[in-house]
Amino acid sequence: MRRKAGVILPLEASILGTAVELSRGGVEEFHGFELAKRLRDDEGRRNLTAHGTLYKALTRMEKAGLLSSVWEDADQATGEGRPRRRLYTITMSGRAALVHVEREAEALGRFDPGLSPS
Amino acid sequence: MNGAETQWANMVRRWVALYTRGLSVDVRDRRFLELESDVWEHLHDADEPNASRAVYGRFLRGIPADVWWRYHTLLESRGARQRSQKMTTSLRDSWWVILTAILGVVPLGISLAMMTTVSGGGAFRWVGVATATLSGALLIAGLVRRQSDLISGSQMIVVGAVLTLAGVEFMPVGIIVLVSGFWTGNLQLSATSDAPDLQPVRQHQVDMTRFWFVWLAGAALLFGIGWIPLIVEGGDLTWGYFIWVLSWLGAIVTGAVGIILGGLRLTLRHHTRRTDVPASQAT
Repeated sequence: MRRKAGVILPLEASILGTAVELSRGGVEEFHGFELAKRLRDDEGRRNLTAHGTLYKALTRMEKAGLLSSVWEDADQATGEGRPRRRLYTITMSGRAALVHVEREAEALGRFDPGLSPS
Repeated sequence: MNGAETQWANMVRRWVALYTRGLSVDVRDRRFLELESDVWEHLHDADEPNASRAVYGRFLRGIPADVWWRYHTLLESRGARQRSQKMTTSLRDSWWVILTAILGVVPLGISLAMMTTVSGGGAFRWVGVATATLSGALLIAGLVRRQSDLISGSQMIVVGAVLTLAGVEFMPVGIIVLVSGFWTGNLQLSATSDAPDLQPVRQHQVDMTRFWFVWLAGAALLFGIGWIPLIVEGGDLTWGYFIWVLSWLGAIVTGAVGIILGGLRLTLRHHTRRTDVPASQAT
């Protein structure tokens, strides 16, 4: 089934949240594996996000304009002796979408006692 | 990398090659290179004590998402191709395709059928000569304007040529398949990749496509010439048969060259991907 346009899935919200956190820490660009590690550590999970799940979400988010990406400079990768990374950056639309999701979550928490954490 | 790590990395590569088969080159290359980087980072991460097992787990758990992604990507590309075909088959852009179909395939098929049933074919011989010449000229004019899908077009050319050689009964069908092979060769447009490391391969592709066009133009010319002595009254039949057989051989060779070039192109791309990984990580 195809989901509605504009709907942000929990994993996508987590990716946006992680991207904003990284940006606050001065890291504007991130790659797939780095993101998977951050997501696991932030959410206290045991396993890293599966390849298919992670890259499907990243591709979808880029198409939706929430993220943008470029290939890393070849010289840098060669210098460090590793394959090139695809570097992602959160866009203004991505930041706005995250704010919207957080507001919605807050509103739901306010009206549904079962969802309220406190 | 130790043996187990190499094994898992190769398994991920094989799986990516499998589920991206048939997708556009850009989509395929991007997914392949991105996974290549991810697996490498994972296997070389100091915080991961049992990385090869973790890579295997990530690979297995991601399979349903990969299949789902492939399904949607195919749907999207089919939609895009239909839109693109709608644009390229507009009357303004592809008048030559329509004219070739009308002038080449239909009357040529009818004239050949008449030749086999009516004594000599009468005026239909001339219809055959005229339409073959016109459609050949139109095909070559159209082909030089477009890029090609080497493998499918070449395979159709080989099948069409073999069918026409198989006997008079198969000839009309063979000609239609052969001419359709010429068309198929120019339906697909290639896009420019945003992955700079793939550019050398693109260069090879362009060179090969040009090379194939030369073969194609030669075979199409021979194909047209081969018919004339057979159809024109009083023509030298020995010479006519010689050129006729030569024209089919030309078509088969063109198709075979296309298939070899297409295969070589795929091998080169694979080779470039492998050589793009620094020597220290080569498995």
